[in-house]
Amino acid sequence: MFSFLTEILIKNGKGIHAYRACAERGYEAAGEKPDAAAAFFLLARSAEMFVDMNERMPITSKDIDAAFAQFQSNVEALDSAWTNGSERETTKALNFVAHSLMTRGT
Amino acid sequence: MFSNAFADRELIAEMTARMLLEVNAVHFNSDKPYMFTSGLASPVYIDCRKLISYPRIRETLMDFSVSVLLRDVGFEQFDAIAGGETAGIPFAAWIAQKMGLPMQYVRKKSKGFGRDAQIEGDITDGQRVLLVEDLTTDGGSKIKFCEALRRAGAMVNHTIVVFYYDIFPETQKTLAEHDLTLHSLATWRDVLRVARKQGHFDAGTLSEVEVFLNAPLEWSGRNGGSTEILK
Repeated sequence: MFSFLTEILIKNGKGIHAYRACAERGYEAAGEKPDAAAAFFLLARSAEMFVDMNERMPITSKDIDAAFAQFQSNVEALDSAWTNGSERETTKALNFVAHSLMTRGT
Repeated sequence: MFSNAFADRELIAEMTARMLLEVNAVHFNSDKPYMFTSGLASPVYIDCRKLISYPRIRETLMDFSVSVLLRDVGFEQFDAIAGGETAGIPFAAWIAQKMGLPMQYVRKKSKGFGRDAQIEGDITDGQRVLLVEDLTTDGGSKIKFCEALRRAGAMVNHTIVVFYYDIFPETQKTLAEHDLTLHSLATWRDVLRVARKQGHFDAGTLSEVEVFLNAPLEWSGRNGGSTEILK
């Protein structure tokens, strides 16, 4: 359900342009899919935070790989919870992503 | 106001490169490549924002910029100077001051609503505006800032930067397709030449940088980055 956002990053080179495109599409999806709006909003916000923190900074390929791995982990957690379908699982996954954003910045 | 004589173009490039190297704005690292916004891996990184902290350097660079504009575009060709958020704003302010012109700045994102929601400062229909930023890689941000200024009614046909990467042949073409002419003071080739002349960095690093400058997409591909410029 959310993995198309990871694919946007891969397709666009995992750099700033990629995260910007990912954030735009994520926010759009939050508006289009009310049942998953919170999840899309968090993923979009995390992509946007990556842009805000790293634009015009000397980001290395190692940093890029680490940020991508974290984003992918967030997407997988949300995908798994939404597939499982329980409200408890989705809440847990949302908290996992929000906590990751606040502690790691992605 | 602008007070310098019109310096030779090669002297401007060499002096600019020397100043960038002197304040350690230039970074070469082929072991841990930097990533461009487009996802390209690169052994080079430049931080032109450092220049604002050095009054003699920034004064000289702004004199160079004005001399390039007056010589290449004309003395009465601009009505206002606009800086791109964030790095372009101080340079735009100093150029506006030297040319005795109004200034605006362009936000990366709109604030509020309306056709001028991205612009701070007064802008008028038909105003001939020069767009200023610190540097250009692939020209993407120039086009976005320019479009925002045009939406607000400005006529934008020229942009100036302190530093131009000049490694992607498509950049000038893309800017020309958007009716934008790029002016700059120095490029990576100038920095490489001065770095060699003055003995900055070791020979191996400089050779690797030259390999990158000659074929940036191939170098990127070999070092974990994209092999095409993605917008």
